[in-house]
Amino acid sequence: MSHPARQHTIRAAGRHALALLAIMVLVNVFAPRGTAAELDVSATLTPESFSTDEGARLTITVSGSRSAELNLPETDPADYEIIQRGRSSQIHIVNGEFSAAITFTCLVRAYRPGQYTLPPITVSGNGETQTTPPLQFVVTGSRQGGESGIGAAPQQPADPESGQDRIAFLALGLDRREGYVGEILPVQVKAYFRKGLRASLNGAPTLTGDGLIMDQLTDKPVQTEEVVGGSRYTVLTWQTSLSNIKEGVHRVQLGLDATLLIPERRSSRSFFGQSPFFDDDFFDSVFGGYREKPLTARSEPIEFTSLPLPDEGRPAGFAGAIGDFNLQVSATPIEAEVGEPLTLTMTITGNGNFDRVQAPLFPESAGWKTYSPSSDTTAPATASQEGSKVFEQAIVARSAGIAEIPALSFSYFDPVAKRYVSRESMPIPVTIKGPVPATAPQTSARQTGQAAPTAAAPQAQPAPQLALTPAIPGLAPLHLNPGKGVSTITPVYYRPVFLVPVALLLLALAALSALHLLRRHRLAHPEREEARRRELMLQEAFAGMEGTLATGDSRAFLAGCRTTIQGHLARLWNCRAEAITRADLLERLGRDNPLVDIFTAAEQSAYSGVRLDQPTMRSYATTVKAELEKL
Amino acid sequence: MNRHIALLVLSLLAALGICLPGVHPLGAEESGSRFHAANTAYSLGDFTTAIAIYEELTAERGYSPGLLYNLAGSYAQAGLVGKAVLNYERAAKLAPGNADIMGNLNLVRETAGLFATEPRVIDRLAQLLPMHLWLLAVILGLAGLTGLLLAGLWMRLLPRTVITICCLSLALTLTAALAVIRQQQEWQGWVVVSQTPLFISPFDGAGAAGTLQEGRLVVPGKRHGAFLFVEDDTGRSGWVRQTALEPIIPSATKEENNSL
Repeated sequence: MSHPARQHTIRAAGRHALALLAIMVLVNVFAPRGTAAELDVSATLTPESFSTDEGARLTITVSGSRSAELNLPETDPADYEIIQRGRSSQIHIVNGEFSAAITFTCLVRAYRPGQYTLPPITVSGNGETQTTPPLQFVVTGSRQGGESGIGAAPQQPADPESGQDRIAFLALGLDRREGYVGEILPVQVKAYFRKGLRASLNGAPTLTGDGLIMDQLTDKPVQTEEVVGGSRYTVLTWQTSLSNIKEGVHRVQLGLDATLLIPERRSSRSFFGQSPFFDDDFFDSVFGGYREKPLTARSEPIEFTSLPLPDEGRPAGFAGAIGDFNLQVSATPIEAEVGEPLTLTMTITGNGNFDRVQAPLFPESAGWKTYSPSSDTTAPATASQEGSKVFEQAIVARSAGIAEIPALSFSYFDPVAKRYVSRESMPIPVTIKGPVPATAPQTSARQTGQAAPTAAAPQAQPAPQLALTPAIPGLAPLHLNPGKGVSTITPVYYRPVFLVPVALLLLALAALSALHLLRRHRLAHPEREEARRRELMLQEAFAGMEGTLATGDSRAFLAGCRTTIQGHLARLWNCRAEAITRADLLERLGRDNPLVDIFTAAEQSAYSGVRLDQPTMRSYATTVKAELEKL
Repeated sequence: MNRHIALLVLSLLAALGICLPGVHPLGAEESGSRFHAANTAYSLGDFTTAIAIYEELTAERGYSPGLLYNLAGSYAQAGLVGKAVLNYERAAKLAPGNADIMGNLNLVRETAGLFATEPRVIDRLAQLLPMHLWLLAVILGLAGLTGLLLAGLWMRLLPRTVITICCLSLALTLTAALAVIRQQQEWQGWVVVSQTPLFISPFDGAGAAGTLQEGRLVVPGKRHGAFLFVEDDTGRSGWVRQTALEPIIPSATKEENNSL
């Protein structure tokens, strides 16, 4: 073999060896080690004794596998809980030996002191399942003791089987279980939520029940922490007041709607298998969700008795104020002229229902004129704090010489002392300047012979005078004639002087309107009027005929018949009655018409003196009536 | 036709004769002297005595404008604004348009600060005349229409004349009637005779919605026990104890008031 050929062969063998070595290394590194170390699990809790304020770290180490799954046991959330925090992996290569270990880190938080045993924790990996040994630990009480706030101690979580009741509840802090209608009671509302839980409020606490009304909670609550029954709670506190509006025994309860946010564990299966990248709890908190659970926190029902204000001992000036008040009164200026207004300032301070507080009544006095007071209230932030109400009233002295503004009285009911209290101010000295009122006219001496008192004679001390200065200057003077009196004051529209003329005028209007309508109707239909007139005249003529018939004078009767026929036909034919002859009847009525015979007989009777008997005349009358009415 | 018209005129005259109100003079000798005594007490500033005598005369002899006017003046001078306004209102109803009565009433209201809200245009138009004049206008309007119809029966009237007179009469009647209806509410009013709180509910201990000033005019509504729901002339409304109010027209409601 030549030298170049040998070198080529050596190089090729070297390349093959290198490739084989690389393959062997790769296989060694990545090939599953079916014959690697067995899965080994251990757990440690540090520290083994801790308080409810603190927590302990639980470390679970899994060796012999590069991937593992942790199954935490269920625990009683009232006692303690295990929260997975993190995970890490380590790979060791020692003397060519490859080993891996996974470390799970968890936080153990306890809520109730006691001795506990952490149950075995199951770990799965390499197709195997191992459990950790149980771990004992001790939980001590909180190092920060005591409850904050005032009022009644909150109720114990009611139902140990109901997880919700232990998680959240309300407490109503009322000093008393009894009050008076109209009273305002300061109260404290506290909402307790188990510490560590996440919850959102769906509103403010509301009071259900009769007889008491709670002011709307507008302020933000104060947040503190308290331990109740060995459990730690986050507490929200509102200060508010209850208004007592109805007598009787009332059962009330607080309620609050909230939503509990329960974290959901994300599934540990990742697309890449048991990858250390995506199995970390960090991703649970970022990509994991919260399950919402509605929650209604309630307080224990409270029975409250509302009493009516007693009638006994009620002062005359009591206007409904309940609480504890003080009265201060001042006046400016304290020197004034007659008729000049002074401002009386009455300040009522204290606790209670200021909406029922009214200005003290100025005592009736002939020396003072008063005007309605105005008021200004400074309401307290809470019912337990002090408030004030200031009244200003203008008063005017009617006469000079008035020395003081009289004392004022303010009455209220003290619900604690259960009695009425009247606060009186001191009279305020004032100086009123102005014309002294004229003294009363002196009674003339009636002693016979005595002269009238002279100017030098001592004047009698003037008796207290009524002010002659009018309170309202400018009024028109008195009427000297009282006028005619009436027993009742009746509006004019109820009096006959108005009602009768109006009634008569309305009747007249109705009657005249009817007449006008009738007239209009007649004008619109003249033929009907004509027919009516004809009928009227015909009836008159018939009456005349009957008259002559009764007398038995046939000549007059026949003349009447002829006149009747001529008159009626003249109106029908619109011609003169005297112009109508027998020939006209023959022409217009016809030979057969009985009127022609009667007319002929009537004409003949005028010349021949023919006499008719009564039956014939009756028959003629009937015929004339019938025939003429037909036309 | 003439006979009918004559009958109509006679009926009207007879009706007017009947319509004289049932009055009786207050000026009996004894009443006159007591009236004079009350006036004297007023002049001397003894308003309490004057009020007592005037009230006695009112109870005995009934209501008359002069008596009520003097009584109201006495109350005004004594500082009792509510009673003063009440009696001035009553006097004004009996003697509408009397300048002294209206002047004093307005002065008392101004002095006491009893200002009402600005009246609406329609109310101001209704207040142009007193009620008795508006009622007279109603009668004149009706008479105009009646006269027109009567004349139409006797004589031929031009259509333009008929329409003009008819429209004027109708307008007068309707306008006057509306004004009377607006003013009629004043007759139904009550006066606050003692300052009282205005409650939101008709029972003791209810919250107060304000205070009704003495002398304020209110319009009553429903009743509940001893409470009356009212609205004042500034538009505020609420419940008050009826004992704090008196009606302007006492005759129709005196028995009801006593029964409460």
